[in-house]
Amino acid sequence: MSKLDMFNIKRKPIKEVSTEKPSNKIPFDVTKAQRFMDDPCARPC
Amino acid sequence: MTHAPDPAKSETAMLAYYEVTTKCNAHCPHCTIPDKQKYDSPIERSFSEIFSDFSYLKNRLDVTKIVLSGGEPTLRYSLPEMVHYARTVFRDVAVISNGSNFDVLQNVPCKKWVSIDYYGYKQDSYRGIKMWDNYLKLIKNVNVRATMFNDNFTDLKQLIETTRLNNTEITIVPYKGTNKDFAPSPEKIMILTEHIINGNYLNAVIDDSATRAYIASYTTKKDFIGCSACESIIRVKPNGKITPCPFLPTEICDLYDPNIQQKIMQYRNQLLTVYPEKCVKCNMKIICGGCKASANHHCPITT
Repeated sequence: MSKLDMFNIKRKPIKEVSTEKPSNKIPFDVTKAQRFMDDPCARPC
Repeated sequence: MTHAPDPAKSETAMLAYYEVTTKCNAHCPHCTIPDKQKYDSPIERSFSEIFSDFSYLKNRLDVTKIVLSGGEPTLRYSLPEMVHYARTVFRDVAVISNGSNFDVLQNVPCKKWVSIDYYGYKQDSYRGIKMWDNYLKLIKNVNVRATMFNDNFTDLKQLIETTRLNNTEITIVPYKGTNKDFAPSPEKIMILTEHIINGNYLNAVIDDSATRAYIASYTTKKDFIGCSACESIIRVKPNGKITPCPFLPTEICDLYDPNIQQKIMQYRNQLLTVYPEKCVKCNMKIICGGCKASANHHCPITT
């Protein structure tokens, strides 16, 4: 399984996700990560 | 695959990284400016050129935000005056400095960033300048820009904590060069990303396309995020040439080229069709854009 497959929860049936090892679970709250996505490469101002 | 310009992004304000000099007093091992230009024969924009450039950037390229950098911009002792003028032209003005010239930096009337990669006097040793004491004196008034290397993970965590305690910001950019020995590991990128988000460090961010792809891999929303070069950012070198971003060295044209807008657009379209080797087979490149200025050795998505 590639890393992309491990991370891409959209592709996996719920059953399969539930059997994943803890290290493969979503490690953070994605709703708190939005600022990483905003205005890339233009932060200094 | 090519990407059509995102209408929402097209409305994003244009930011210019404007380098006032190639002169520098530091000796950073990862620097790409030739020694001759840093220490012997620096290239500088004259004051009159700077005044003209600012008006031109605003009127011709719709630049509303400008970041004055170098080289080391505080080695231009007129930097505070440049900033004063920039503030009359642009909506937002910032300066990025290595922090070595306290007297000039403290008088710069705008948002200030200092480049710090290591915590404590180790920073002075790495960059070959004395700046840590200056940082401590300005600690509540300057933000931190850090390069993430293969050996400064603990230092970055200390800097993240320090900036939070002082109500300042920290932006972390993984090393973008081709030397694998400098690049952080993908695991460290993942751990630091999780540390920032789970620790609720709202003042900290990793500004990096591979990190954005890593985060996006956990979301169902898969919109294109990446590469802003020639779209919402541009760089002006001290020789008056335009490059796509602070990390991409290709000179597109002269700032006063009569066809500058078309040339920037053409370069943008060309840029979006090429990917660094590590990104070529990665599905996530359609989201992150695959930073064109980096070998992306640190990317957690590609193996």
